Amino acid sequence: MYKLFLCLRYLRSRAIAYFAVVGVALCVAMMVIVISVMNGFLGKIETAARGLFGEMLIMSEGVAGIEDYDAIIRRLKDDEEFPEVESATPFIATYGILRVPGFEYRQTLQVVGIRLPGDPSGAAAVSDFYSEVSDFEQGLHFQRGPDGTPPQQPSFAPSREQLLAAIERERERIDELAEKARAERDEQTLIAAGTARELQRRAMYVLRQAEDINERIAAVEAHMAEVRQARNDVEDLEAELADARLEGLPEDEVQAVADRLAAARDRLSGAMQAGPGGGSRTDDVSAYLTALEDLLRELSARRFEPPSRRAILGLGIPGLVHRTLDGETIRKISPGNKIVLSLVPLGRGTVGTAGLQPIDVELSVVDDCRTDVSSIDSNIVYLPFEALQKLTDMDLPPRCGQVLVKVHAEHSDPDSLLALRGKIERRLVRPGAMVAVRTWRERLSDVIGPLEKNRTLSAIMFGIVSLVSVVLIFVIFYMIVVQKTRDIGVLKAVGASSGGVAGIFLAYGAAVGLIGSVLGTVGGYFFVRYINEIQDAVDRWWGFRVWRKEVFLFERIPNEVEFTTMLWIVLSAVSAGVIGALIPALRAARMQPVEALRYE
Amino acid sequence: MSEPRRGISLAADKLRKSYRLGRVTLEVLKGVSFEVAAGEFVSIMGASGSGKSTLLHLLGLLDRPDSGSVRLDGAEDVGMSGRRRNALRCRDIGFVFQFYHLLPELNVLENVMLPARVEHSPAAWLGQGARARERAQEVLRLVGLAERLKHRPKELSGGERQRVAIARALMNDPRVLLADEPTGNLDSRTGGRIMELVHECSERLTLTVVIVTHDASVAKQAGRCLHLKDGRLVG
Repeated sequence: MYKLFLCLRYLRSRAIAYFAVVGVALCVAMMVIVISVMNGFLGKIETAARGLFGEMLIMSEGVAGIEDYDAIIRRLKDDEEFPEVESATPFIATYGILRVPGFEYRQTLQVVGIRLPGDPSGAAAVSDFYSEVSDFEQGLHFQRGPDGTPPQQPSFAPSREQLLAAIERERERIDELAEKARAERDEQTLIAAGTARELQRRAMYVLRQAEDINERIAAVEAHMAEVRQARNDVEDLEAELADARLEGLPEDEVQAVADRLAAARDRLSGAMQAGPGGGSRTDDVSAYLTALEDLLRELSARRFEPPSRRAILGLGIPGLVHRTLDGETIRKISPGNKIVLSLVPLGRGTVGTAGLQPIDVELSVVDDCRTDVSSIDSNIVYLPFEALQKLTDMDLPPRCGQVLVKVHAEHSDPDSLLALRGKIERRLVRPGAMVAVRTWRERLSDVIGPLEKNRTLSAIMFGIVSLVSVVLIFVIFYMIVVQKTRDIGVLKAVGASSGGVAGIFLAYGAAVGLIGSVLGTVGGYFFVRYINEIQDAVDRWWGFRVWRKEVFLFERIPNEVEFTTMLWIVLSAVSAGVIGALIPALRAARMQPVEALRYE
Repeated sequence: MSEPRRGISLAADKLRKSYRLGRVTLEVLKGVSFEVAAGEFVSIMGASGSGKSTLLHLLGLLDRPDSGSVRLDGAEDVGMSGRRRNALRCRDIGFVFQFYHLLPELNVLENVMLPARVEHSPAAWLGQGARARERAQEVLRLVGLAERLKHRPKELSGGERQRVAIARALMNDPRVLLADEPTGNLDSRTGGRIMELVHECSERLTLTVVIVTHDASVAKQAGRCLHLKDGRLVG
């Protein structure tokens, strides 16, 4: 009975014990924080990698691409041949330069082609969607429901009404942010909000006028065709008349040609008079056609492009988003706004240097997507798969750069994935083909490898830290045992056994470990839980930022604490307490009562 | 107070004990033999360094002799297990030290209850705890400190501390009380009172008492006085 009693009493009344508790608490908190962030970071990479690219990747090793991808996907999705596979989708990745018309803006980024439901640009694209392999729809913004639910069917062709309603909601949000920024005198946010509102205004105009503009474009194009036809007729008849005169045809035949020419000139003149926008006031057909081309360009600039000319931007492309001091995002580009992409063709016909001519393509933005992987979100634009295939000369014959494969959860452990990789290589890859099969882990080995090394390094460092806490407890307990030498003598004089005396100090060590680790775990838990808020506050007050998304890939620091991790840390700390107290406890136990009583 | 247990006889037979101080071996006891009858009050007197405390520690089973033996109520300590020695120290022997040796973290009541806590297992303590508290209050009443239960040792005078030490020694109703210079750290008046208290307890509880002292006035208060000189009894 006395062991627990004296242990608790020493704990309460020895100030030095508090130092031991604080030491253990700090070590434990540090371990909870670092292990949680490190594990969370690796876990997040795994989730992101699987969420973005599936568990397996069949990739072309050159730019030539994979030709028979539809057949490969069909076989992969055959339950009898590959029961492990849940879904698969073709994928193209290339690079391009992004511009925003009306702004001095250039940005190089990755351009990827993905298949989404409701994408009418490819006749074959009725299944094998990217959204079946990835969590793509989770990151979309403007296609969400009013209550924030992700779309069931992410698409490059959402309805204009849906987009208008989403922009309206976004506008209200930006107004609120601007109001707050005004109160906080946050000039940068105010400027970004102004740009966003202006681009939203244009986007809404485009979306509302889409049908009208398309009709006008069609009318101008038809009219231009009519004028060109009439001009060609006039030019043909002028040539015919000249020939007739040169050949010395009879006067009546020459006159007939002249009459037809006059009629053609009347038709041309009439067509020009009746043209869109009040017609021409000049007889210069070339100038008139040039003016029409300008009009067409102007109308095209305001056109909501067809689904094959649409893009989904990554949320985080530098210059296109602004982050407020509170971490809120202001999107400057809205659905309906235009972007221009300069792309370099990848196809076989253009592999020679002469063929590598970049092409510019105008695209309408329909949404943005946040994967939460900063390095991806800041550097990507998604296009319809078949459209990008055409734009990059990958359509004759149809090819893709990669096939992404999603595996059923029960087959997604590392060993099963390696087995599946071998199976795919044997059955689907022709010998000698420049095609490689990689698991998600192999694909990200350049990211995961250093991280795992870092984790090992951390484990070693924290092993040393744990050792420090053992030494700390040892030193403190040794001091306590020395101070308590006479008490030990008294206890033995009143009949306490050596084991009982050792038990007091071991229980004392365990209690220091337990209390320290509980305090450290609670402290560490709350630190990790609010680590992003703490970082934001430190950044705001002192301008110091530890976690940079450019370095650590993710927007936010992983802040999930695993219960089992905490349990292990608590058990380790209690063990450290007991181990640290072991030698002092044994010393106390071996002490002869007479020596202890005589101790000065 | 319940009926106390009667004191037991105590005997030392050719006790020898030496200590090594560096390269020098110091022979402290050189074959000491004597007997104390049950309920007898004996004092052992001697100059500083004569081996009084060592003899008391051997009698109280706090130390082992190089040769010779100690008998408690006829039971010889030679070959006695550690567990048995602990049990005897806990149940049958009460110690009082010159420097009180109270635990500073515990109050008066807790210090007195300490031997009872050592005696009982946690399970037994659930049933015995309340009784032990009553017993501790009883012995504190006996030593005149019933009003100072919650005081810490540092809040007490030297005499009061020694009373607490005596109460602690009496807590488990021992049959032998061994006191090592119980008045050595007190002024003569307080020392006198402590000796009165030891006498009173000895008579009331029919204890066997062995007290070692260098003070002749203290020694002569015992029923019998033994003199220790250079590790030998001289009269």
